[in-house]
Amino acid sequence: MSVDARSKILKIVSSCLCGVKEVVQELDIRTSSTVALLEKMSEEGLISLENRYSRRGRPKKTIKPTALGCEFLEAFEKLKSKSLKARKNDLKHAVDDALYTRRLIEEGHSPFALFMELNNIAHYLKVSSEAS
Amino acid sequence: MIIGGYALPYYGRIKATVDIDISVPIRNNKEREAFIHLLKANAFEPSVGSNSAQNPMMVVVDRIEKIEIEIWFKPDGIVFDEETLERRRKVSLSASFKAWIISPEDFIVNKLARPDRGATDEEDVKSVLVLQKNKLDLKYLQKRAEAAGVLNLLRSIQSA
Repeated sequence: MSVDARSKILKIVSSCLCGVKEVVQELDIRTSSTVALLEKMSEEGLISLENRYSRRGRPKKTIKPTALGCEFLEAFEKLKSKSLKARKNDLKHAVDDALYTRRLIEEGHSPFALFMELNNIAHYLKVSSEAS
Repeated sequence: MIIGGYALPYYGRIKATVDIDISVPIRNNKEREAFIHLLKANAFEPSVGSNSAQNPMMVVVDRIEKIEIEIWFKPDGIVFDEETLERRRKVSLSASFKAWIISPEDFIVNKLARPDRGATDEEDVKSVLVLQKNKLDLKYLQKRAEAAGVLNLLRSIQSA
């Protein structure tokens, strides 16, 4: 089982009190495969499987992350974010740029024509600053 | 086909760039030599070292427009197969000039797979993910990102 899969399951079970059914729905894989993954993670001490009794039917398993599981998820998130060069604000800025571009398209502008216009301005600025 | 900054305005934000990047699927030395010959015959001057088959890229100077063009034989993260070529798109650069550009999915993978990837590349990718939402072939994107070893990076940008 990959580190990715473990962290995905930990993320699901950390966000809500859920059972096998909910994890199956989120992962979108077969129940038997999900159960196998959960049992493996339980053996590793990343999650705990507790029986939840109700008045009717069989007891349902509730999956909770253990302290070790929480640490694992935290370390994984840190490691993952480290590989990003852009800061959160940079990416937010990029989203704003994209939404602005969408507005321009909706108003009938050609993004490539605007790009060429912008490129020409940048080119002339560069040439004139080099000349002076 | 056009890759890099000149393909960006077709899929993402509008941002000035000085680089013109073009990828050319060259299979062997013979094709490479023929390509260089063609460039020279059309007023493009290949840089020193262009004949080296190991070099994934060469710089060409357009002697008429006085601009530099980067020609990629092995663009980062891109596999030159039938699927990549089928997915490229033909666009009008002007009223009389059409060109092929890389697909948005391959554009994303190419940006993220650059060894010198910077924050700006990730911002470019984010803008494409926003503007092309519901239009991207996510299965294909995941497959290519996984093959290029940038799947986690892509997911980080998607969830950010």
